[in-house]
Amino acid sequence: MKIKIENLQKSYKLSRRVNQAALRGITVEIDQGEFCAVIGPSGSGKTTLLNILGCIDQPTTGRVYFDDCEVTALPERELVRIRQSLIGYIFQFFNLIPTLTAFENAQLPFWYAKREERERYVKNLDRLFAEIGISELKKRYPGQLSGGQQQRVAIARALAHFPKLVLADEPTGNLDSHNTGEIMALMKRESKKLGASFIVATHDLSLLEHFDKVIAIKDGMVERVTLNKNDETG
Amino acid sequence: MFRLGKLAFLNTLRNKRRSLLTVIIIVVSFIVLSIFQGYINSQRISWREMLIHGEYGHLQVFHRDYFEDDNTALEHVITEDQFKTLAGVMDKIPEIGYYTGRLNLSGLIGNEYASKIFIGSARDVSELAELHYFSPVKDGQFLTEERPDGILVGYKLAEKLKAGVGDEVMLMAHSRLGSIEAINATVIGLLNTDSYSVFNEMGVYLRLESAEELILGKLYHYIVILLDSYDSIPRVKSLLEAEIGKSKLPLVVKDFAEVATFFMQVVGMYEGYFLVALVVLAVLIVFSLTNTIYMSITDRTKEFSTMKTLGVRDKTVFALILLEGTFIAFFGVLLGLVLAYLSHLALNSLQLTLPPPPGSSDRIPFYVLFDLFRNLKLAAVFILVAALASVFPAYSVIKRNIMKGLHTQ
Repeated sequence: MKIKIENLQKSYKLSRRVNQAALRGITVEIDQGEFCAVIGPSGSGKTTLLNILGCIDQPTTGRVYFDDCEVTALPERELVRIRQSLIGYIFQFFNLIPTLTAFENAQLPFWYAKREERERYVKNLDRLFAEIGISELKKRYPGQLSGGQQQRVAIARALAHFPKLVLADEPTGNLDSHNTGEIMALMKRESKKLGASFIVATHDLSLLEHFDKVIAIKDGMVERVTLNKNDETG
Repeated sequence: MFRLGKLAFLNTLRNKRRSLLTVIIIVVSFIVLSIFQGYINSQRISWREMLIHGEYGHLQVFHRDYFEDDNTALEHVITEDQFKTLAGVMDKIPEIGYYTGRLNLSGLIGNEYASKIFIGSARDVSELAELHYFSPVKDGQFLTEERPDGILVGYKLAEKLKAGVGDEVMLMAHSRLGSIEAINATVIGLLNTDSYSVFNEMGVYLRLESAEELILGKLYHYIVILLDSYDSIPRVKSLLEAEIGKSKLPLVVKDFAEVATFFMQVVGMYEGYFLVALVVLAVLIVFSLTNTIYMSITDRTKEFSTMKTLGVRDKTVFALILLEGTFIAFFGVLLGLVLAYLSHLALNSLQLTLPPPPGSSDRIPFYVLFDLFRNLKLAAVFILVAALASVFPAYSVIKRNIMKGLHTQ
C-alpha cells in the first residue's frame, strides 16, 4: 500500500486565542513495503504524524491517501474499519491488556474477524510467536513478561492480521540496547516478509542504518528525506 | 461475546478490594430488602387468609345491581331460586369447598334499658366450622341450631344495652313487604370483630332463619364462596361467570381483591414503603457502583485507548464496561440471594415478636416468608440498576480522546 501525504497541517487549540501548530505542511510519500523512520526532536510532530496516519486523529488541513483512497475524508466508522484491517500499531510502552494472556492480547486486532479469517490470522500469529521466539510465553500475562518479551508480543499483535501499514511510536524507547537491536531486526525482517510499510518514529539516531528511508522533521515540517541505499533486506 | 464476558469478568477481579466493597453494599441492600419484602409477604398472606376465612371468602356473588343500592335494601337481592340454581353449579366445581348465603339488614334492637340501631348480618350456623379461622365470639357461643332464637351482639352494643349472654332482646326491622316486623331473641354470644369495628359498636349476627321471620322471605344479599386455594380464584370465577351467563342469572362474581378494598389499600401502602426503600438503596448502589467503575476506568484510560486504536469498536468498549458493572451486581445479588434465604430461616427460627398494635394486648409474631419469584424479580431490578449505573462511565470512556488516553500513564 502506497502512502501519500499532502500538505498535512495540524494545530491544537491551547486556549480560545492560542493555537499550537504541530504539523506545518508535511508532504511525503512512502512506498509499499518501505521501512521508514520518522526522526526529530521531542515536540517536532512525529507522534502527531503517526496519529493521523493511524486514523486516530484528523489533520486541520491536508490529505492522506492510502493508495488512491483519501482516508482523511472518511467518516469515523470507516476509519475504525481501516484501523482494524489495514494498520498495525506498536507502542513505546507495549500497551498490552493486563487481564489477557500474551496470545489473547495478540488477537485483539481481529476481535471482529469472521471465523475463516480468524483461523488464518491465528495461524499467522502462531508462526510469528514461533519466529519471534515467544511461543512458550503464549499463556503468560503481561505482568509475567520482561519489557523485551512484551514488545515482541506487541509486534506479533501488530502483524498478525497482515496489515499494510505498521506504525511504531518509539518502539525501542523503553528497551535496553540488546533488545533494541533485536526488535529492530525483527521489525525489518517482518516488514519484508509481509510486504507491509513500516513507519517508525524514533529519536534514536543510532537506529537509522536499519531504515530504507528516513524522514527528518523539525518544527512540524519535513527537514529532509534520506534514502538509505545500502539497505540489506532481512 | 464469550471473549467480552471473560474480559469483563477478569477486569472485575483486578481491583478486588474495590469490587468487594461494592459487592458488600449490594449484598447488604439485597438482604435488607429481601427481609422487608419477606415480612410484607408474610403479613399480606396471613392477613389475606384471615380475611378470606373470616369474612370475605375467595369469591362473592351479588345481584348485579347490589352496589347501586344501600347494602341493606331488599330490592337487589338473590332470590331462593337463583341461589338454588347457582348452588347446582357450585356443587359441580371441585375447587369450591364451601359456600353460604348472607343477608344484610338493619333495624332496632332493644330491651328494657335502651333501644339502639343495629346493622345485622344473617348467617348460616355452619359458618363457624367452615369459614372462620378465628371465632369472632368474645364471650358465649356462635349461632347454633340448638338455640334458634340465639343472636350475637357486638360487645360494645351489648354494653350500651346493658345486656349479656343469656339476656333477651327484641329485634325490629322492616320486611320486604314494607311492614315492621319484630322477633324476640336471646343473646348467646358477644361479637368482637377486630377487622370490623363497626360491628362491635352496632353489629348483630343472627341466623338466616331468624332473618326470614323479620323480612318475610328467603333472600340473600350475597353468597360467600370458599375455594381450595387462592390460586383457584381466576379459574372458578370465570367458570361461574360462564354459568351465570348461560343461565341468564342477574348476578355478578367478585373476587377477594375486588371486595376487600381496605386490604388492598393497606397492601398497596406497604408496597409503597417497599418501593421507597428500594429507591433509596438503588441510589446507594448507583453511587457506589458508578464510583467503582469510574475509578476503574480512570486507571485504565490507556487500555481503552489502546483497544480503540487497535480497532475495537466503541460499542464493544461500552458493552465491556456495562458487563463489568453487571458482573459485580450479579455476584452481589447471587450472594445476597443465598444470604437472604439463610437470614429468613434464621429470623423465623428465633420466633421473634413485634409489639402489640393499638387496642390489642397480643404481640404480633414476626415471620418472614421467602418468595423465590419475588426475590428473583428483586435480583433482576438490582442487576438492571447496576447496568444503568455503568452507563455514564461507559459513555464517558467512548467519548474520551484516543490520543490523550494513549499518553496517560
